[in-house]
Formats: sequence, structure tokens, C-alpha cells
Amino acid sequence: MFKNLAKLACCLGLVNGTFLMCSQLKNDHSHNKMQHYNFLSENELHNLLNKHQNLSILNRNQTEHILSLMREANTDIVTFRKNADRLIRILMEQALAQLEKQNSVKQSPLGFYDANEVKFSDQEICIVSILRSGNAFLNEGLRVISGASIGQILIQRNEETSMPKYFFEKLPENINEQQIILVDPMLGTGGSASMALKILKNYGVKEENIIFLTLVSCEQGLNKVFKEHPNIRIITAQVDPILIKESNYLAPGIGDFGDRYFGTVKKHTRSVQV
Amino acid sequence: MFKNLLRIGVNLSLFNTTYVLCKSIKDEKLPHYHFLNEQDLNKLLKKHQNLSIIDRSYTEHILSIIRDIETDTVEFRKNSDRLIRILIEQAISQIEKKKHVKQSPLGYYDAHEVKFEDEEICFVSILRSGNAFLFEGLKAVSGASIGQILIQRNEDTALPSYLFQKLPANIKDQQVILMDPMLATGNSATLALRILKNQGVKQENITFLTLVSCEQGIEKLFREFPKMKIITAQVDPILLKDFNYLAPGIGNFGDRYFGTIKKSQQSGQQQ
Repeated sequence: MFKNLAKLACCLGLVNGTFLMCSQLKNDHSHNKMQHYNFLSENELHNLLNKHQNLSILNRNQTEHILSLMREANTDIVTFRKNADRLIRILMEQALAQLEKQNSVKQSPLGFYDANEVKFSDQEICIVSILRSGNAFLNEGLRVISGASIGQILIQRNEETSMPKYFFEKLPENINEQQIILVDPMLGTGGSASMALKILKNYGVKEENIIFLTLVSCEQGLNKVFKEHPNIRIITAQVDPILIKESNYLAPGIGDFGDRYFGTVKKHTRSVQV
Repeated sequence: MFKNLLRIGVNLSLFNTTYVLCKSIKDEKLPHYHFLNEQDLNKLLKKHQNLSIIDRSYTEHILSIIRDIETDTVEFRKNSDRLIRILIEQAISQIEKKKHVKQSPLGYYDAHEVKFEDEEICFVSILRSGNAFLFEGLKAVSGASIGQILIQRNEDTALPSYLFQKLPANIKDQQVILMDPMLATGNSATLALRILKNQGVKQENITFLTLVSCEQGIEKLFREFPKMKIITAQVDPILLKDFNYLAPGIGNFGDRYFGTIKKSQQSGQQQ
């Protein structure tokens, strides 16, 4: 059990200098000792969707291949980024599909038709990224909504206590009038997201105008965020079954998204026996 | 009625020099087309099991901008690309997957991945308009092979002429995603599908992607190739008999995307 935790910590780069009994932890043994996580069934997902009316989970067909490549520990950075971008694009399109639309009549080369277009111009949409990982969404976000304004909130999670710590924010002046797309790749405890949402509300943003996008989430995080902010909308690509208590990481999860996307995975040395 | 046809012809750049009574044709005379309602669409989906229509909430905004006659080339391309990406993701999500067990940083999980490598997927574009799909296609599946078939529609007869093809040698072993922005009579697509069939490609391995289609075109394709899949962003209500253009349609997609719209002369009164 301790070996598993130590191995986990190692994989997550949480422990700086590691003295592990590595030569004794052979790969075939650890295969048996590491857990196999099963995803939530269709039933469980339906229950979740029934419980939270403002929750959307992307169709499994679109996401399972991409997420599988991202989750795999061996995936190189190029493949990781490419697949993350694809998935982020899918999430962004879903967010835009949920924005309010208005009717008008327009003219095509052949005649008139009923036009149903998003009520807001690019500039009235603000993508708010929870630094650092949230910034990964800006690439694809700006491809889809090239005129959007970008807000940034720096919240770092204290690795030991898992409590979020606020550092910095830069938001457009008129943010209380904008449609917000709040982005953060992982939703674990919900601590960081909740803090960011409180900051937005302090600026006068209404909950109904916020859509929160996240790649992988879990039930606890969703419950917490919806409890404190019931009128926001959340769109997630997949809901993982477990939130590991000790580290507050999702399992199977993706590992540390920020490190993997930005290429800052700590290389640790495995030295000899203690 | 004749004036309307002339006006439409001008908009589609079908005439080189046009003497039209422009001053007396006001906009109000052009018809207002209504889209198919949910019931009509559901009937269509029930009738054709291999047909997918992308959810309206994703597509209506984008299509509205593409259809709008005022939309400039930059906006047209940007929105077309967005829509094409949505179609391609939908096509990929329908490709067969297989399971294994893989390892994440925290443990093992059930991996469900597309059964085929990038190289086993072939985008076949019906030139010229189909090429618009390649930009986003290669972003999504960067290792895919590209096949090209040049078919041009004779504007007078609306019948397709085959001109040229370049397909991978092993195309019969590949998953083929055939692309053409518009599906009107279905004649061009049918010709392309016959060419693929001659090369040994099985129907079940073909997905046809199109932005805007109509019932007639869909029926024609499924009648001859019942096992292929078709994914469309929207089904338009009308196929205009005189021009075989969809209405409200997009106009001439190729001209608008590639910026080759002929500037027609709208001179004085009719002679």
C-alpha cells in the first residue's frame, strides 16, 4: 500500500528526491499492485445527469479515443497536445452551441431563410482561464472565437493540503456584462473552480452567464461546484470514478495536465536502496 | 417568376453578362424558404438508418453565417472550417473501436481506441469544393492519406463529368471518408462512389460527409449504396429544378470558399 502511494507520488512528480527500493519494485510486480480503474457505467452517468440539470457530458463516441491517448502514461508531448487540442475544440463547440440565439431573416444567394444566430458578438464573450492549466484552452478557444476577450485568474493548489490559493487576476473591466466561458482541464475537489467562480461573482457576473469547461471531472467536484453555484452550466468530456483521498488526484485521471501539456514534467532520478 | 430565375442566375454567377431589369426587381420578390421541422427530420432519420444529421444547436449559427449573401470570404472560410471540423469529428467518432487495457500515471484503465492507424484512413475529396475539407481533415487526422477525384457538373445538363482521379493503391483496405460540401441531385457523389467501388472499396467502409444536402440526393445515394454512412450538417427543403441548386442553400460553395466568384455585370435595362 505504501509502495503504491510512493510509486504514485513518483509518477506525479510530487516527491523531489526519491529514495525508493526501486530494484525491488520490478515492473511485473507493480503491474499486479497498481489498480485497474473502471469507468462509470451508462446508468451511473444518467443518474448524474438527472441530478444536475445544468451538467453536460460529451458523447462517449467522440471522446474515448482521444482521452485514452491522453491518459496513457507513455504518450509523448506532441501527441498529448494534439489530442488535448482536439478535445478542447469539441468542448468549445459544445459551449457555443449552448449560448442563447436569436432569430432573424437573412438572404442567401437564392432567397430568404430563417437565421438563428448566437445573440452575442465575439467581443461579448470572455474566456476566463484558471492559470496555469487553463491556458491550454486558449489556443483552440481563440481559433473558434477569435474576437473573444481573455481573463486570467491564477490559483495554485497547495499539494499538501489540496487547498486552493489565490495569487492574481486580470479580468476585463466590463466582465459583468459578458458571457463567460471558464476553463480548467481537471475538476477534482472543486476547490479551485469554486474560488474562481466566487471571484467572478464579486465582479458582478451572473451565474446564468457562466459555462465551465473541463476535460475530466468527478462526482465530488461536480457536487461541490453545483451546490455553491447552482445556476452555472458545466460541460465535461468524461467523469472519472475516483478522487484519491491522499493526493486529491482523479483516477485513472490524466496525471498532471499542466505538466504534460506544457512539458514541465519533473524528471526524477531513481536511486539505489535506502 | 422569370425575373426571379434571372436574379437567382445572376447571384449564382451563371450568366456572364446579364441585362436585367434590376431597378424593378425588389428583394421582396425572392421567396422565403423555411427549414424542415423536427418531425420531417425525424422521419428522414428513421427512413435511413445510416444517415446522421448534426445537432441543430451546433450548426444553425455557423450555417446562417455561411448562407448569408453578405458574408465575406474570411468569415465564410472560418465558419466553413468550424463546421467541417465538427463533421470530421463526428465521422471519426463513428469509426470502429477496439478495447485494451492501458496505464495512466495513476493506474490502469479500459482504453477504447479507434481500431485504425492514421494511415489507414483516406480522405477522398471530390474536387474542387471537396478540397475545402482537407485543411481541417489533416488537423484532426494528420497521417491520413488523401485521394482526389475530379468531377465537374455540367451547368446546363446538371450531369457530372468524370475528369481525373488519384487514389492510394491500397484504398480497398482503407477507411474512406468521402467529402463534398453540397449534396443536391446526388449525381456527382454517385459517380465518385462507383469509382471507389471499382477500386474494391466496400460500402461499409465509406462515410460521406456533406455540409448541406436534400432528400432527393440522400435517397439516390442510399438506393444505390445502402450500406454506406452519410453525415450532413443540415438538410435543405428544396432542390430547385431549373438549376439543381439547393434552396436556401449556400450558393456556389467552391466559388465562395476559394474566392473565385465571378463578378457579373449588372447593366441597365433589358434590350
